[in-house]
Amino acid sequence: MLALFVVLPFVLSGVLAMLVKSDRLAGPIALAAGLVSIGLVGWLYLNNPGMQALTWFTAGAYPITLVTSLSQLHIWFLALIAFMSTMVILYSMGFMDVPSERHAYFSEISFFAAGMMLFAIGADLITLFVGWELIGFASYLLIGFWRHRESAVNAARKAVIVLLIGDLLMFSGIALLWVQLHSLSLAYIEANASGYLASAAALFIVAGALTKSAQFPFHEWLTDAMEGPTPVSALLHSSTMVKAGVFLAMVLLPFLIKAGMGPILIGAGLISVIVAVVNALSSTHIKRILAYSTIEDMGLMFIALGFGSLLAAFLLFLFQTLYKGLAFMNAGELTKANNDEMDIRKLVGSTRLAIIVPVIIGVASLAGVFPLGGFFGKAAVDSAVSNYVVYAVLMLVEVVSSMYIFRWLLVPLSNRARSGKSLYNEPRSMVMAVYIVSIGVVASSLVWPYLSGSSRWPPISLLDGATYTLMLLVGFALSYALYYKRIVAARKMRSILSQLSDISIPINTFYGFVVWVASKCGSAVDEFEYYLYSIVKVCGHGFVNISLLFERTQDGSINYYLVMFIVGAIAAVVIFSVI
Amino acid sequence: MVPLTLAIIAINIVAIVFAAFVRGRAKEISIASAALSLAISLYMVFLFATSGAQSSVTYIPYLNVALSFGLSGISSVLLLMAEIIILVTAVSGNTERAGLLASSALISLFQISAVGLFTSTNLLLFFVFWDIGIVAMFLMINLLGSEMRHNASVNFVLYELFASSMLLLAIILLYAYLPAHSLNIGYITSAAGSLPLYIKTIVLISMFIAFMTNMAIFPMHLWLPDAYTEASTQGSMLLSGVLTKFGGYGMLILFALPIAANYTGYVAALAIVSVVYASFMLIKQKDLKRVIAYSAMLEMGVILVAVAASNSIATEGAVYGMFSQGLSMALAFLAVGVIKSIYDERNIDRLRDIVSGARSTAYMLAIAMLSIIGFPFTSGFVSEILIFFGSTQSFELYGLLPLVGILVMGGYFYHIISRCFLSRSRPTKAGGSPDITERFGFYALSVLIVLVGVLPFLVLGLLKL
Amino acid sequence: MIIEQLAMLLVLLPFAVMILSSCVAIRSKSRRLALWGSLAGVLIAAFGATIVMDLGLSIPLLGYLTVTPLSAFFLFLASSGTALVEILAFRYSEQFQEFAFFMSLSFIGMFLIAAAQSLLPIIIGFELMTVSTAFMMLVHGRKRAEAAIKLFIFGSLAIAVFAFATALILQYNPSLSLSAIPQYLGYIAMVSLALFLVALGFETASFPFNLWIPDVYQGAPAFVTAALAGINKKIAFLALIEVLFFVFTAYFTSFYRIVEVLAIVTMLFGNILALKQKNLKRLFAYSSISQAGYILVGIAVGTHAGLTASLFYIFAHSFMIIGVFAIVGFLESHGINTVDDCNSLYSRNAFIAVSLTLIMLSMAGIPGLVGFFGKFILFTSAISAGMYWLAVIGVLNSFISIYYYARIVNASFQRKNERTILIDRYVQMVVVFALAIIITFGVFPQPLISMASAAASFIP
Repeated sequence: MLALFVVLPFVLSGVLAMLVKSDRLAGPIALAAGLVSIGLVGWLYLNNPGMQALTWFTAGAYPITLVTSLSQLHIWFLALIAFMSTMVILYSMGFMDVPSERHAYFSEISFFAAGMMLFAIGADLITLFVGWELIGFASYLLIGFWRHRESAVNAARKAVIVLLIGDLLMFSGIALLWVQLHSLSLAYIEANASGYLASAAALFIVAGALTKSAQFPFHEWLTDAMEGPTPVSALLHSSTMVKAGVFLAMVLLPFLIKAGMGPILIGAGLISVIVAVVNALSSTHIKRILAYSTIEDMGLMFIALGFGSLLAAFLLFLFQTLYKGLAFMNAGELTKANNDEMDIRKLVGSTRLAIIVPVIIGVASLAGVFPLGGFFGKAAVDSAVSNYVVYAVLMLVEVVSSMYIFRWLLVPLSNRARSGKSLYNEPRSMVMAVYIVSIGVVASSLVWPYLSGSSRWPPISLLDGATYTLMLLVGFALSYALYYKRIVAARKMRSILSQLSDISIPINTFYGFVVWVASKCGSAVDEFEYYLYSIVKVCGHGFVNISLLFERTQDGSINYYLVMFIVGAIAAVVIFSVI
Repeated sequence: MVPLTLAIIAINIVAIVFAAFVRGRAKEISIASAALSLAISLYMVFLFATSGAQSSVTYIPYLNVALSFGLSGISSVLLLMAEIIILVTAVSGNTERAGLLASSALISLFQISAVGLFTSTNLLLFFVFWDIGIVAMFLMINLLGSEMRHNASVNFVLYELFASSMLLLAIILLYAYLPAHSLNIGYITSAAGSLPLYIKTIVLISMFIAFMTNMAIFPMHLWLPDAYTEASTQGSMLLSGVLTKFGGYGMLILFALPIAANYTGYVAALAIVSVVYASFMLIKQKDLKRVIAYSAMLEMGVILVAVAASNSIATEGAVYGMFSQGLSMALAFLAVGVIKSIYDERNIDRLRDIVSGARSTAYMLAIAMLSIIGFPFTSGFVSEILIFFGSTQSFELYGLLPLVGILVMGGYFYHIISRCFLSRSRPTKAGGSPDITERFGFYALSVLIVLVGVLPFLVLGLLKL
Repeated sequence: MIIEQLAMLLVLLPFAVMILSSCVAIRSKSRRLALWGSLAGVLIAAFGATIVMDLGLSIPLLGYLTVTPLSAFFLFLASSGTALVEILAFRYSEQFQEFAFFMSLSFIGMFLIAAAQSLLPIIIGFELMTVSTAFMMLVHGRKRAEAAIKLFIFGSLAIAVFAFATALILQYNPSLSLSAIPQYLGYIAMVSLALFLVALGFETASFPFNLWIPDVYQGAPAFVTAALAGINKKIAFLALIEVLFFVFTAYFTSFYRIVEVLAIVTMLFGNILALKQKNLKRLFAYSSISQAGYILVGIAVGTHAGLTASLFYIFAHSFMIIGVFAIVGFLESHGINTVDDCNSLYSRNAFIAVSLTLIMLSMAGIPGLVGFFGKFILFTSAISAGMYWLAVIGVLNSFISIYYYARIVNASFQRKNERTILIDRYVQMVVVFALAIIITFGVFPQPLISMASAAASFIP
């Protein structure tokens, strides 16, 4: 099981960081692990061992086998994880200037990275599921990292419970597949799954994937997860963990399509995209906007997968990792410079070249400006869509999407233009990380067709590309006008926006509904138990009190006893004579 | 086998007597006897693994009952689980630091009962040790529990002895109607099919009620919340870790008889109702111990679903699940006991930030809770896989319904972890820390849970023998 | 021949010893002499009984009596019981010499019933037992008079009815021997059978003839109660067995249903009335009524297995109840009369609390103690004979009895700080002996079962 070794550096660093409770050393340890793992991934790319299997235990008569695979899909994901994790660790070394608990933070990030890598190499449902649960738990710990904040703790809890729902749904799917196939390796499933049970299993697995990737109706947790430190958002909730759902759908795509999950993927993705852009436009929290954008990106990937185009989704998948991470890192720089202010209307942007260039690169790639990577990804998704209705909706969405993305960029900049404050210096490691990732974004945008041959990549029709750019420009224009130059009266915009946010509130209450239902059931059952207990108690006491009733007959008088004696005697004689 | 079991029983009797005379050293005596018993049981299991021994000595020829002790795959796993939990209880469980003599004597008594029950191959001996266990537990709750212990213990003993009356009835019927008038379990398994139908039904119903009450399945679960909450830490550890497994073991025996085959669906339905019921009761509880108590009820419901599924994976899952649950519950109750002794508080609303004040305890309780909900790398994960694969095989989609209960319970557990362990707003003040004996218990149990979770063949290998 | 004569001597010698020693003791006012004399006599009798049981002898005596292993079984039981009661009485009775005298008379009566070969010795034996016991009570003061008089009145009534029943079948059985009377004798025989049941029902505490028991048990001093419940009742069971199975063997199919109903009702009556009982003596009186019901189960079954079970349970219960009343007497002497008074008994005297708990657990049928095996073989024999309801109700009754036993255990193990009570040597001796029997035969019941089985084989 050669591939498993790739997990080792991060496991070690996680353990070490916990044991060596030094806050100074924790960061460097994690960073070292990150660098080593990048090296390992590179080595694995060159000496690809292919698929490997290990029998864990035997259930009944069938073995439970763990399979790892390093196919293209897996190895690129692995490389991205290694890269992003290391960059985020580097970034955190500067960002997390809290004096205590740093070692816990780096330990948790390391374990997260290890779990994520385990997920990325999995080629059977059990390995995938183990990685799935591990990253969910790490996410829980990291979201609630600021433990003194009640809101952070609540957000972590909300996230982990929604993820738990997904976990159990996925587990149900796994169980159903096992019953039919007695093997959980992906290859076997793709070849042999059929029937209504398999379709049910597919539905459950898709539902699980939807929770992990924060799609409608499970999307609330992601926005609340922004309570965590920004590096955490950069790593987990944009580039890696939320992608796990999409990845799962990707590796199982032939099976899911065969089981008829295509329309569901498209539907869920589409609704999520719409919900995301509506909410993003009305939100003013710098990280939440990015969170909604993540939801939108995931939705687009699901739509592409629903139409059967693995490669389009994968293309977007690759670029999204990089540009999202970059966007969050930029956001972190901005908030740190503004004393942790999160509202974009109050944030003051900076036009210093050193700061603004990565920001522009990030935003441009996010929005999809040619020739940066985001353009290719989103255009590929557009090309994959073969349904006119969906295509039309997507066009509209693209306008709104580019509106809010540029709003995200322009509003802080416009504030800058007004107040003219100067910013202090960011820590070097943060800046370094941001730069490396920006270089990554640009490089990947230029280099991608030459990796593994251009024939493997999806066709992006010129028309789609052009249409996309058109929508992009429309959105940019609107955004510039509304936000930078404040041309149209703010009041009109505000009223539209407030209507939008009113819609968004009922859409975002799945979790609240679930909790309310559970609470009501709990009260009902509690009442019932009380009644049950009372009934038993009353019966018991009633029975016992019969004895008091009889006791009264024993009053000690000989007369009474004699009477009973004689009565008994007569009765006995009578009975016996009758027989 | 017989001399070994009798040796364990003798050691424990000696320990009880010794402890009565040398009161000051009672705890050391009970630890020594528990350790010795564990060693002997390991040897017994080893003997069983290598040569499959089972032996008997004439006991009551009149009743055709022989003192026969032996092990099977299932009972060896459960025996080891019981021994380990009893040892840990003897060493670490006394978080209240009270009642040394009584607790030592009763732990030894309980040990006798557990060893006898899991190694007996004769239903009458099974019953004898069952009742001894119930009496031991009754006394433990009555003597060593907290304020409401009298009510709780009387409730407990009434329910449990009702269960044993039902079991006795079934035993009497079997004895009278089986052609060979023998109560050997192997013989019963093979011959029970030839009984007249009404006898089979009565035996099935009474044995089912007996084991179901012991496992605390709805609606015979009313003894559980009070008994667990009012018992001392040792009492709760033994109750959840070992006593309810008596019922589980009995259920496995019952479902191995050819009389229950037509009713597995109904049994599974009842078990699912019990699981969901327990989960909804659980989320309304504020006392940490009560929460764990209801989770114990929930888990036994899941085990019953696995037993009812009656296929090889599910049976393995049931035994593995009992092993895993036994350890996890013991760890959970130990941790709760330590929390109570450190913070003097068990109420969820008032506990905060345990991870700063009592770090190892918090980790241990977290490990226990995660194991209960089936987090990977703990034994709970493997048991969940086995149980649900098995139950889906027999009951298709309905076999997945207990997951609802696990979801609700998991949600509340995470709520507790968030609020009580992690949240740092208004932290509660810690007064002390776990001492070396409690740490021993923590590490022993948690290492086992993780070890068996990563290397399941340790248990499964034994099971398949 | 020699052996038999020796055995006869061994059996008759004790009476002489006991009577003589007690008379001398009354005269010389020496308690110790009375005690040693009685114990010596009783021990000789027990020894003789063991020989008879071991060798399976059958010794005719004086034409009306025969000592069979069955009689020896009961003789052994009576001897051990009497010994224990004497020890208790020695400790607590002020008029011990008189007590010893009456106990000897009662013992003779027991022997007569045990060895009876005709109905006449049974009548005489009952007279002896009842009158002696009544006097035993009276001797201890006027407070006991009510109990003594009740016992006397009902006892005499029962004996009278018994005599009348005997007379009824006189024509078929001129020698009054315990041999079977022929079937189809119709009306008269049935009436006779009914009346026998009535009379013996009084003695053996069957409903509805047992209403006197709680009052009498409560009113008598504890050691007399122990004797009453432990020994007298058991001998009465023997008489019942003798009458039913020796005389009326041919009528088994007629009467076993009635006995079954009697058993059920007695069990329920005893258990239900004990549930809310506060006074310890009364509670155990009701408890012993329900235990008598269990013994009736075995008699109702009537097969060899059933009778073995009855005999086993008779033996076991005798010691259990003597142990219980020893403890109750001890508690009474320290002012503990009700269940509530038992609070924190464990902290006051651990030995008493633990032994009381053990004996009660045995009566409830917890395995490891002799009561369990007794009930087990009773119920299995019932089901083997096809009487399901007996078994089911029996099992349920065991469960019901848990409630009141648990209440006492609950009270005794509460933690309060009160004065310690020191244990009394004599009571401790008795209780330890009783516990020894309970635990030993609880774990190794086979010897007792064999004994009972051998004895039962003498019943046709």
